[in-house]
Order: sequence, then structure tokens, then C-alpha cells
Amino acid sequence: MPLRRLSRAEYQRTVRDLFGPLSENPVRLVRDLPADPPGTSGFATPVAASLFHVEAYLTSAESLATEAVQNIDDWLPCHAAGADEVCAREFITTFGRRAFRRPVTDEEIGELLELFASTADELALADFASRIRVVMIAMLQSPRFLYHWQLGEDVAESVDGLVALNEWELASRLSYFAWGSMPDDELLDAAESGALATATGLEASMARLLADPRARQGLGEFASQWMQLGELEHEERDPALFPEWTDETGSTMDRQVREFFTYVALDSEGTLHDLLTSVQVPVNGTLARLYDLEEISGEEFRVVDLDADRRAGLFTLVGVMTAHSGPNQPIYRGKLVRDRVLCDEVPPVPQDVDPSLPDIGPDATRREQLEKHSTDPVCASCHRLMDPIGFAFEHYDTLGVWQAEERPGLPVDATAEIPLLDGGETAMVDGAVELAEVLSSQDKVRRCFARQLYRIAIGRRDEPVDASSIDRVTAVGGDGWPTILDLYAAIVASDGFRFRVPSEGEVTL
Amino acid sequence: MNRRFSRRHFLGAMGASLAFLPAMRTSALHQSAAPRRVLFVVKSNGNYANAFDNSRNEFWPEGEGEDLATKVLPRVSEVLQSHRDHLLFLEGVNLTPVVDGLVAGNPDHSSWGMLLTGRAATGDGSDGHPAAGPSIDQVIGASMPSEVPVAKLNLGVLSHLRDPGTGKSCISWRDAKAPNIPNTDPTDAFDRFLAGAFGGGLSPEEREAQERMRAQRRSVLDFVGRDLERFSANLGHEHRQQVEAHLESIRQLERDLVVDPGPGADGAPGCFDPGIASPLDPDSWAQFPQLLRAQMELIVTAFACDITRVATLSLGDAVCDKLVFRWLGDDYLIPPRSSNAGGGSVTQYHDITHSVSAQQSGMQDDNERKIGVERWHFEQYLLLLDLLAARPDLDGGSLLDNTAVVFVDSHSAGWVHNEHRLPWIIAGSCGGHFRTGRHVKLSNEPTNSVLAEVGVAMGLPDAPFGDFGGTLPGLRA
Repeated sequence: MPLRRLSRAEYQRTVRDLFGPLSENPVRLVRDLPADPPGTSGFATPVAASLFHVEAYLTSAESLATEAVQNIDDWLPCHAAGADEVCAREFITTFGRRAFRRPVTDEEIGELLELFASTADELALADFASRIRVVMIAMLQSPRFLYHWQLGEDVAESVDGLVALNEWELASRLSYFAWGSMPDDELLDAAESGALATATGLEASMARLLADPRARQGLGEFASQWMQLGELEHEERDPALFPEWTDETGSTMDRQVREFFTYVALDSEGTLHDLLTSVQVPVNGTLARLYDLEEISGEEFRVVDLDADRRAGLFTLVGVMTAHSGPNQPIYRGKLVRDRVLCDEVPPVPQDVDPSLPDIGPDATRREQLEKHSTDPVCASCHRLMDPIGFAFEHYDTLGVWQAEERPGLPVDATAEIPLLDGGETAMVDGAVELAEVLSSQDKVRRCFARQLYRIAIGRRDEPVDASSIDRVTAVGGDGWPTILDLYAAIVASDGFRFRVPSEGEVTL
Repeated sequence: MNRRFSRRHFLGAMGASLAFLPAMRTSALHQSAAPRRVLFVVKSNGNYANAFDNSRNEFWPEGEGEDLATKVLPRVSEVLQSHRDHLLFLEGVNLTPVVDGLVAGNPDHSSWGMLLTGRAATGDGSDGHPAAGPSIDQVIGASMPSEVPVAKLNLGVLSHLRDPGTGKSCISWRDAKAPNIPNTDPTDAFDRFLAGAFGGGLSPEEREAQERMRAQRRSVLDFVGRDLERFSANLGHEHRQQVEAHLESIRQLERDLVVDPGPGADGAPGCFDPGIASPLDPDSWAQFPQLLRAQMELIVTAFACDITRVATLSLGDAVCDKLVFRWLGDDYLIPPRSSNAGGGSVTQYHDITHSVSAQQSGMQDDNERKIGVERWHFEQYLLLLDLLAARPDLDGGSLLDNTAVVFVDSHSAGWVHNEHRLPWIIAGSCGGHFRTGRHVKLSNEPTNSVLAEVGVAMGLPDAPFGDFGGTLPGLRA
């Protein structure tokens, strides 16, 4: 199990949930953190905490605590009754259980009470609220709050080389998987009562979490990261060429991908097949014209039926197409699918290869431009993994708008021969709709999707030791299609979710 | 970046204004000579210069011998000819770990973690090739005397938008996998590092409030530090390393709580607030020139006021595919053949670089465009050197006399991602350490040697740096 800080998105949601009962809109007080790079699992993985991070944590903590203690009577009853060390202890244990996502140990309570005492002695603070504020600021910068590691002072016990995650670690894993945020009180209580000790108990809790509105954010976050939409928010387009592009277009496109995923997975209890092929898509006014839907207006998303000859599922959403557009977009789109949907590794460009393409004149089609990738064996060995898939998306321009012609008088050729499917087979497709149908029939795709979900559940790339857990998840539904919710249940019931291997040098019993 | 917590606002909203420093605090340690400073300026995409021959060359000086006075500077380098006497062209420097094939995965667009660290990045690149050791600015900064308020200053321009903290955008590293994320917001950087020098007097009540806040912060950070130590007690090696990096950041924050002018600022004639036009949007590539200028002014001011003596400045990231040179005119905005050509977006730096040999149709005069954008970069370098030259230093000379600016690039022939014969220049003699005004030929010299020699100039022992190379005594005066 890697030691991971809360990612930027997780930190914001955790603050929102932790301070929900204490503050009105706590996230507005949170100082901007740097974005997190993808890391080896492909999903947001924070780097070691830099000066920037710790200063952001410090100033955020100060702001959050300042606002919270203004209403201290609302959430700390003992304050009105008679604020003293007993009340401080109560604050530490109740706030701490939620902040640290497990009961605060006696040793930790002692340390924090010492800090509380020093606020009077050394800092000359007189009133209780100011003193508690300092304790709260310290707790919000504690590694117990900032990192995914709920071991407390106990040392992990290793049996047959495996460590069983304790109830608090499991609760945290469940909530960050489903919600991208901290456990609620009900989940912490379930942990405490031993309900998470069995696979069945984990499944039951997961079902409750997925039925909660917070699941929309967790699942939406997965979809956005899985499709690598990270830069859409900051995408700038030249207004002279794209007059319809506004500052919000990119983030609205990202939102649609999230809405579609949650619509399929949660609202419709749909399957991977639905995800890849469905044309029932949430659309709003900003995006309507991109789909040739003039009559829709307003910011609210509503589900419409798209043209089934032109659209299919997740890939042809304008956000996915736009995030992977550019002069050689068949390569980017092909790589996305090959890497994230088929889980086939694409080797990097060799050092001594000249990656430039020959100039063949202004009238050449994009296929002709990229022809060297298929004729030159040095290029072809890798590019055949990507370019053909990318050509199937030729009907979608750099904003994902459907086009019949690449240029006036030059119809789009979206035919492609897709190699290296199940059993090394090749499939002929014409366009993304056919591609989606082919992909959804692949065992590879089914397994790859399970692996992607699994990675975000355990916070690292899957390794050989995870194979049996992934086998189990992939087998759910037998020959039929499991719902995406079924997959979530299967993952939390798997060994890979409930156990871990001690890391090198870790002290265990 | 969030500017909501700025403690002060920029002075000089109406353009450059000179506000001389109010009554200075006397310092116990008075400098008689001026200290040496170093600044590493890092860009990507290479220059217009092939790696192995001069079939395309607008960078390397032409003619016989070493003496720049007798050589011809071609079209890119000629931009700096007014500073000819201060320049050291270093020809024959390689990014050894990449060139020797020691890095797994493709580091072409994630080599920034190796440029100032001189070690081969570990891993297969799926995490962006984080550095395998500390960068030279980290090591030099750690050796600075404690009276200098800021050990080193890491600034950037739009470097925070591409996988921050990885080899794709981070040049300064505290240690392996422990990035020093640069500050890319000039308004924020001013507040943190310079406001203490220029903020003007605080009332007694304000001073008291500030002292109380600092005391609380010290108390909290002390607690958090001990908490981190307890936390790491039972962790495995790699995890403990990560927590140690976190702990080190906390310690750094404790030290940074108070930033007052350093000893060199005492009566320093060159220490004044440059005033920077606001507002600046640190997320906007369209404001690249303004952000760059603001960061350069900041660094120059921080040097002049002896707030720091070590700095790094990263220009964009290792790809820079969002950098569009709108300000250079319509030639640099290619109208597309159709909505698909050029990706439908306008021509950006990465495209321009790759167009050099490809001559992709629809883009005319590609070589000229590449030369044009490299000249633009050198015009910014010229501005930087002029800013340094214009500041008087304590010893009567200029700040530039006591500084070494190391202009670093990740590639030579960027269109083929080549890391041989990198177009690196040292500008400024660093207080007389370097004999400048030369074009020095080296042979397959690791970048480490340049870094190590700069370290020697700044007081480090005469020893190799990182995993390759040695020092370069031949550069010395």
C-alpha cells in the first residue's frame, strides 16, 4: 500500500465534509494547491510535500479554524457549559475521530492537550476558542489527516507475508473509492462495530455509499481521470478561429463526461457495454451546438438521445475528443484507447529515431501525412497500436464536432484495421460507432476496465500479486454483463482490497 | 494560483516606479565586498543548432579561436552582442544520462529533473521521470550563510500547469523525488520574499499582531514537525523518505516565517522596488512575456537586496505546447487549411520546433519561425542582463559583475529531441571567477561539470557534482 497524501481534489472534498457541520462554505477558504501529476497508476498521485504544499496547508488550516471557532457553541456544547481541559479533551476526541478517520490514541490526546496547555502558558492566549483554534490548526496539518494511512500508534501485524487492513483503513478506502472523500459518521461507526471485517460487510457498506449523492463526485472523478481530461479546464483556443470557445467550455466538457459516467453507472445501473455504446447522454446549452442540437439551452444538464449513427458512448463525447486533439490527433486518440481501454502498453519513442514526418504537400489527407508510421517498420511496430484506432475517430474534429468531410470535397475516411485484439485478432471498422461495438465485445477491454477501477481503489498500479483479485472481479456476471456497481462491489470484496504486502523496511509484528 | 492571502499589494501599479528603501535596519554583519550570485534560467525546445554539425546554426559563434571579440555571432546569438564580453559559450556539453541511454522510458519531454541534478532519473517515466537527487541550486543554497534570509528562490513562468513536481516541469529538487515546486505567481512571490524589504513601516499594534501570529505559527509548526517524526517511526524506507521530505518542507517554512532584508542590503544602492504592472494572471500563456519580465525583475531585486544569492527560473515546461507567440505577429498564428490543420489551434512553440525538418504543409517558412522565436527568447535574456547591469552593487561595480547567469536548454536540435551539444551559455563572471568573452570547445562533457564549476564559483568545494563529470578549471580567470 503506498503512502499517499490526499490528492488536491480529495483534500478539498475532505475539508468540505469535515467542516460541513462547522462552517458554511469551507472550500472557499482552502488555499490553491499545485495539481497532482498522474503517477504510475495513471490516477492523480501527489508528489512529496513541497514548501508550496505545506504553506497552503498552514494558511488553509488557519482560515478554516478561524471561521469554525466563531460558531463554537454550535458544535462544541461543552464550551457554553464551562470551557476547560475536559472540554478540550472532548473536542480532540470528537473532532479528531473524524479528522484522523479513526479514534485518537491516548498518546495523541496527551500530545494535543500539552499543546492546548502551552497556548495559555507560552502564547498567552486567554479565551478558550482561541486556544482550541490553535489545536485545530495543528490537527489539520497532522500527517494523520493529510495521508491515507490509518494505522495509529499500532504496528501492523503480518501473517503469511500479508497484512490485513484494519477497520479504519478499510473505511477510508471505501469512502475515498466511492466518494473521493472521508468516511461519514455512519461508516466510522460501522468500522468500529466490526461490520467491515468480512467481504459481505464491505459490500453492504459500499452499496450504501454508492447510493449516497456523494458517489456522483467519486465516480465522476474516476471518469475524468481515466479519460485523461486533466488539461481541459485550462485549454485556451484562439477566439478568431473558435469564436464559440469560452473560459467555461473546457470545464463544461469535463463535466459532461462525469455526468455521463454517473448517469450510466448510478442512475441507470448500467454496464461497461452501456458506457461504451449508449447514446443517452446528458447535454446542456453550452454543448448543444457541438452535438447539432439547437433546441437545448441553459446550464442544466438533461439526458437526450444522440444520433446513433454518429455517436456511441464515452469516447465520442466532445470532452474526450477535445482533450485528445491536435495536428496528429489519431495518435493521441489511439493511444488513449490502447493504453486506458485495452491496457496494452505503448513503448516510448526510441532515442535515436527522427520522429518528424515528411512534407508531402498541402493537399494530402491526414492519413497520408501519417503514412510513414505504417510504411516505415521502425515506426510501425508501435504506431500500428495507435494510429488505426485513431483513424476510426476521423469524423470528430478538434472540438469533437461530427464532420462528413475532412476538407470541402474530401470526405472523411474513418475505416480502420484494428490489430491486437483478443487472441491477437484484427477487426475492420468504419467509424467510432463500430469501433465501440467491437471494443465492448473484447475480454481485454472488460479486464482492463476492472484493472482501472481496481487501481483507483487501492491507490497504485496493479502488480502480479493482484492477478487473482482482478480475475475475480472480471469474472463477475459470468458470460453476461455485470453492472458497474457490481464491479465496485466485487473490488471491495477482493483480497487485494482487504490485504496488503508490508513495504520494504516496514516494522511489523 | 490563489492570491487571496496576499499580505500586501504590489507597489507601482502604474508601471515602473522607484521607491527607495525606507530607514534600514543596521545589520551586525556588514559586507565589505559584494557577495556572488547565481541564477539558472531553464527553457525547453532547444535552439536553431544541430547537434553534430553546423548545417543549421544560428547559435554558435563563427570563426577561429576562442575570443568572442574576433568571432561572428549568428542571427540568434547576435541579440546578446552588447554583452559579448560577459558571455561564455560552452560547446560540447551533453545531457549524459540521456545520451548514454541510462534512462528508461522516453525522457525527451521529461528531462527537466536531470538538467540541474546531473543524475539519471529512475523509473520508467510513467510518473514523469522525477529527479534522482538534489539539484545544484539546492546544494549551493544550503551552503549559504544563515544571515541570508532566503537560501534560494525558485520561480517559474506557467510551469505549474503541466504535471508539477515531475521531470516535465520541475527543475529544482530538494532530493530524489522531492521537488521544489516553483512559485509562478509574481504577485505572490513579491509578498513572500520582498514585501518585508519594501512594505514600509508597521504601526506598533500591527507589529505586535504580526509577532503573535509568528509565535503561534512557530508553535504549531514545531508540533507538526514532531508529529511527522512520530508518524514515520514504523514506516518502510520509501515511505519514510517521503515523510522526511515533508518534514524538511516544514522546517523550511519555519525558517521562512521571517524574511527581513539580508546583510548586503545595508545601504545597498541597488536595492529598490522595481514596481510591476498589475494585474497579472499566472495561468495565462498569453501573458507569458509580462509574467517573465515580472519574475526576472523580482530575482534581480532579490539579489540586489541580498535577500537571496541563488535562484532558478523555469520558462514554461519541458514541452511548452501551449506557448503561442501572439505578440510576434500574424506569421506566428497559422490560419488552418481546415478546422483540422495545425490541430485547429494556433501554432505553438512545440509545433514550431518540430516543423524545422518536417516543413509540414500549411506552415510556410518554418525555419524562419524557429529562428524568430529563439531570437525572442534571447531578447528576454538581453533584458535580464541589462537589468542586472543596471543595478549598482555594494563594491561599486554592477550586479551583473558579481553574478553568473546560466542559460540552460534541455535540447540542442529540438526537432529531433537531441541532447548532445546543448546550447548552454554562462553570462557574467561571478565576481571574477570566470574568464568570460569566450567560446569554449569541450568534448562530450557532462552537464554536471558545468554545474560543479558554477558551484565552485559560489563557494562549494572543487569536486564533481551528481553522477558524472568533474569541474572545469579551464573556464576560470
